[in-house]
Amino acid sequence: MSSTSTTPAVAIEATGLDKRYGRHGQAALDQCSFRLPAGRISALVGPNGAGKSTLLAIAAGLLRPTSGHLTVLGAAPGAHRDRVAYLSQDKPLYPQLSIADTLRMGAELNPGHWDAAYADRIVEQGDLDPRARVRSLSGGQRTRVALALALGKRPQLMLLDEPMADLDPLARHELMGTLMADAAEHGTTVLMSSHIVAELADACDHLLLLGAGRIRLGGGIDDLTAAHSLVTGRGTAADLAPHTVVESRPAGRGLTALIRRDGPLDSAWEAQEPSMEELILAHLRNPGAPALITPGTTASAVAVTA
Amino acid sequence: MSTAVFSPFSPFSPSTGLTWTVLRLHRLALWVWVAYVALTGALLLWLWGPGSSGWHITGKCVAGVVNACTATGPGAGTYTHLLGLSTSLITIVPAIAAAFAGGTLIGRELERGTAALAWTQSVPPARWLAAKLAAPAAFLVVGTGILVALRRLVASGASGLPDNQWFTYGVYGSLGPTAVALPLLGLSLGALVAFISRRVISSICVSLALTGIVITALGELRGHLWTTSTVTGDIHQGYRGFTGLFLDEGAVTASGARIADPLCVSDKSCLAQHDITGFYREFQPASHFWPLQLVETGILLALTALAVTAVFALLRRNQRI
Repeated sequence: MSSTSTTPAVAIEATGLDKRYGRHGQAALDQCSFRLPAGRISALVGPNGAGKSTLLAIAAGLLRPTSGHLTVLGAAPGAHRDRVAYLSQDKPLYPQLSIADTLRMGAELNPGHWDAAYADRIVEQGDLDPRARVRSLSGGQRTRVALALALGKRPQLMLLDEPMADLDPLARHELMGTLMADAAEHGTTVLMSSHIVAELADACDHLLLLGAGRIRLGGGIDDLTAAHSLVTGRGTAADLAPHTVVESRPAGRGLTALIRRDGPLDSAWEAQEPSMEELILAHLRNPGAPALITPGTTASAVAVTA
Repeated sequence: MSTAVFSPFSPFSPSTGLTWTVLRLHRLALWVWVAYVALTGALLLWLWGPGSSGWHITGKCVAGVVNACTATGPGAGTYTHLLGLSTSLITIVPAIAAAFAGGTLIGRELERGTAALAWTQSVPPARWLAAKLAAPAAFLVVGTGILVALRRLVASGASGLPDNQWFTYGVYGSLGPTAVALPLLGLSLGALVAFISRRVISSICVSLALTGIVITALGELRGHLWTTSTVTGDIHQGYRGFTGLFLDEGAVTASGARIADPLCVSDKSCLAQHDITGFYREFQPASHFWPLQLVETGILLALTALAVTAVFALLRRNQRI
């Protein structure tokens, strides 16, 4: 895939983004650079402490990066608050408000582009009484109200930090369906962090894998899986040169390896395309693997290489 | 960048929605404040009307002399007790405002992260903060304004009584514009502390302490915010009476120097030994009430402006606005 110059729409572009907490704190983001094209539904994955929440909060205009540059919908973070929705991990809501008042607040604070019917529908799907106080809701019910508040403003970009973490499987499936159908219909860009890799595989078409504060793997999921092969055969990891071995483990008298191909593969190896889950897990287990960022996901100002 | 042109919603002012949100979020606090003003106002109206009969002033009211005159009669006890209560109810409003701002208004929002919820709607954080401060400030100004006006009405009805005179300890802060300005300073200090600590309990405690320090410091400074007056008596007259706020007293020597009173009383040799020719008292005359109030109000409003500027600077430091 190549970056198409006909559609300049870039949802998020980060260049050399650094964020440190405190003067001597460890870097949450370390020279993080990438580009998220508009219209993609992107999974933001990575181990705990990789900087996912920090990246989303910076993009939402809630945190200021220590250094580096980030644009959201072509402007500084926070410049387009009316077009960006953000759902933080702890999903804060005002406990003293009723659900109806919470949504009314959404209407009051997003004048001119609040879709009350849509927000109401998300709440109704969960069988919630609009008169119920937020403090009386369970964690999952609260998540639903927070999502209704985030989606009711009809954003062009959704930044969702662990959006489905405390929903039951049924509600998660159903809300994810609502979210994805809506995103597809309106061309909404979604950047969503999650630990549930299987769930992301169904919903997302783009992947950003963060490790140690920078992007280890970035691009369309089809492009990324197509660039890798899961190979089995007799031989050693050294026999797989010039391909990049992301992960290898002994299998019988031979070897199973996830490789990033460089040129055609020797027919002695039995190859198949890895699933997104296999790809992500292999990279999470092997943080030393060189980064791969497809051209469409590479920040324009700085070439990102391993 | 050029993409800013397709932001069709920015011309719409979200300020009315913001006001609705602030009033809705703090509805309980709002009603408590309305009830507080109503009850204190009712108390003051009673003191001005029915409460002012059934007692009379006995003794000759001499300023600077404690308990020279008192209210006596069947209604006197209730009147003086409730008058003191109404004065206290007005003078503790700054502390209430500081605790509210440090706690419910700002501190709780930052501790729970709900402030971020508001900042990710279509309203810039600076607008949010402005609404958060302006709405309670308006209610404080109106409420304290009403109470001060009523308290002055009560004072004018029985002006001879020490409890109704500004220079009596504790009364000054309930009779003029400082009673309106000080709660605004409390509010802004509470917000400032909340932005620094981001914790409800510590914000409330520190805001209360800071407000207390400001009130105490102003009490110490008050006598020197406007030119003072002095009365001097010779050794036969001793200390002379005056009407106003007592500041300082002592003995005067032949050279005109002011020294601490050596407490000779009428011991001639003692007076001669210390070369004492008279005694002085320094004070703020009763007529200086308005200059003092206005200077003090100016100081309070300047401090409030500083605190508010600092709050906005703190907001800007961490977030993009």
